[in-house]
Amino acid sequence: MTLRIGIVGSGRMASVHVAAWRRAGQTVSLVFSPSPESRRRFSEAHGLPSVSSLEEVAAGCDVIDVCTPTDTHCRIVVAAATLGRHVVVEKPIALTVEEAERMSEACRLAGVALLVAHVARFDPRIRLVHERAAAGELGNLAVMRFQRLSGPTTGSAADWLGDDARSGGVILDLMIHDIDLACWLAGPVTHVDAATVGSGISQHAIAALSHASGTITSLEASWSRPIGDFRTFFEIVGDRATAQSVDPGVRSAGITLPFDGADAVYAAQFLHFALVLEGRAEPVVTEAEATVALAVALAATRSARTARPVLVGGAS
Amino acid sequence: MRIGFAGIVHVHAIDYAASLRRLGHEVVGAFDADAVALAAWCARSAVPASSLEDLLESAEAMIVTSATNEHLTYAVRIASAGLPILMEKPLATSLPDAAEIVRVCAEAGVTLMTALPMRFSAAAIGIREWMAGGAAGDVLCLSGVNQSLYPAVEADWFADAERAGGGAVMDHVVHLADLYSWWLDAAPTRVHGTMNSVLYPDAGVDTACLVTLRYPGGQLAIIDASWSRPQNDVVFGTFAVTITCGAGVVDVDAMADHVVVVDAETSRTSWIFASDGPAETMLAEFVAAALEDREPSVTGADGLRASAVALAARDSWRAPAR
Repeated sequence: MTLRIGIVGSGRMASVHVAAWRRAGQTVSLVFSPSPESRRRFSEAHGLPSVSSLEEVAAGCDVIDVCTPTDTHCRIVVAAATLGRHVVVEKPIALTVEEAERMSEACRLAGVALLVAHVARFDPRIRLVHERAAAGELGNLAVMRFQRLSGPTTGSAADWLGDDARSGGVILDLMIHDIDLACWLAGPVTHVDAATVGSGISQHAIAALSHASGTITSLEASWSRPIGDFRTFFEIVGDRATAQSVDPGVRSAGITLPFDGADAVYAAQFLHFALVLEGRAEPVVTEAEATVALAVALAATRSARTARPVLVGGAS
Repeated sequence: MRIGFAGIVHVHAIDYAASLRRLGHEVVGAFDADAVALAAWCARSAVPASSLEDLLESAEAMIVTSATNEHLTYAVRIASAGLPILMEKPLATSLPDAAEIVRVCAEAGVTLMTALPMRFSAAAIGIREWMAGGAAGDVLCLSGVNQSLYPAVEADWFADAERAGGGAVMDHVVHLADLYSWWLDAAPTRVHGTMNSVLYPDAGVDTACLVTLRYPGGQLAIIDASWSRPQNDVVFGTFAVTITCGAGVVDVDAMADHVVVVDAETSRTSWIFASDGPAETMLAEFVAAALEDREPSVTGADGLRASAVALAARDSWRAPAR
């Protein structure tokens, strides 16, 4: 069964999603974004019809995929659910736990799925480590380290990404990937000690998490690397074994290659989403887990602002 | 120069003895209150066992490689004998004791150097010079790891809360804390430790340790000082820092000066290092400072500053209530 996807948004993530849905064998039917000029450009670039309202999106697709700035997630997802369509939304799920809960409730009442695109769970190296850890091969997890280090965003996304009130800053937008992975591997977080430096599109954040299981996790997320740079790292130490990532197999200097390992990871995510929506698989990540990651990220933001470690409230 | 050892239970003591001999100095003797441990160490190192009194007569300089909680006692004895001291880190198991060690040596007019060998790595020196010149721009974050195998297998006092003052937090935090302060030319304004004892849970001390730091100029730093490396890994530990600053990013790996050797018969991989590494350069500097009666490049005050960070991390941590 091929799903018809309606894209809401016309920025970088919307482009990534179009390519990934297609690579996953699904049909992207149309695009909507509030600015006529942006959606016209996007429509031409991707060979997609564009529409001028969410209602028209719903009329022409089975699944609404929300790739808009974070401060618009709640409003659009609730509207999409009310229109009776399954919803995919980019991470972070929302800017506040209250919004996330409202989105979840709206989808539940409408009887539609809410899938949050925490794509890092689909990195094959991470899936491998999670499988091995779940099977007990690493033993009790003692200390984990994650780094997700990027240059600043360029182009029009800087307008909203660089505004913490709209994006949640580097912690909610970037570090949240590894916060979610840490929770997936080691369970709920009880305490966060975090700090940030910089502002706008150039921020750098560090955090130390304490999990209820006893595991401790070190996180580092950056928008302050050189432009175009991107690097991730993980090291998972258990009392039976350690798992660690290595440098990527393709590295270039002075050249921007047209392909990226990330393409396959996004496609794997949407292949999985399609199976979930067809009722053939349980979601790898639920909206409840996405909300937990958001709660930890918000606690980290509070810790960085108050320069004090923070207890995570409401961690289930 | 004639050099004596006060306390021999630190795992580095035997390496220091070998290095000093390579540098052409005489290791005249060693003392330790534990006579059995002393006898065993002297047999391995071929250094004569001695009483402390005899040692303070025959030696021209002393190296303190005892358990951490004995540092102050030795500092008082050696300073009153007027001998220069190279002291293992951290200086003490409490801030007042660490400050007292510095004070006692200053009052007696003796040289006090803290054993922070990473100060003598070419990479650390290069980064210091580069930053001091301002070329780094605003430093945003220093992100470092200094992990190791579990040292209590070889020297059980490392996991003794009274003798070591704590576990992983008291073992490795000081090296990176010292480099960060040296590079940034500042002590941190905020230090917070997050620790656990999931690894080696019977140790009775923290065995994994993460420290977050903030500096007066707004710089952030993080240290992973965990005892998280396997006992039979290719190398005893890691020492690497990623520097994110206005100029860009620099990755420093102080353990990269090795050659990877694979044994064809056993398939075993080993990392081999030259013997005259930073620790030997540190010893040469200690001897030179003692001979020239001058301040060493790593002072007692530097050791106090770095030890204070480890102690602050240790004392800031409150295990979350379960």
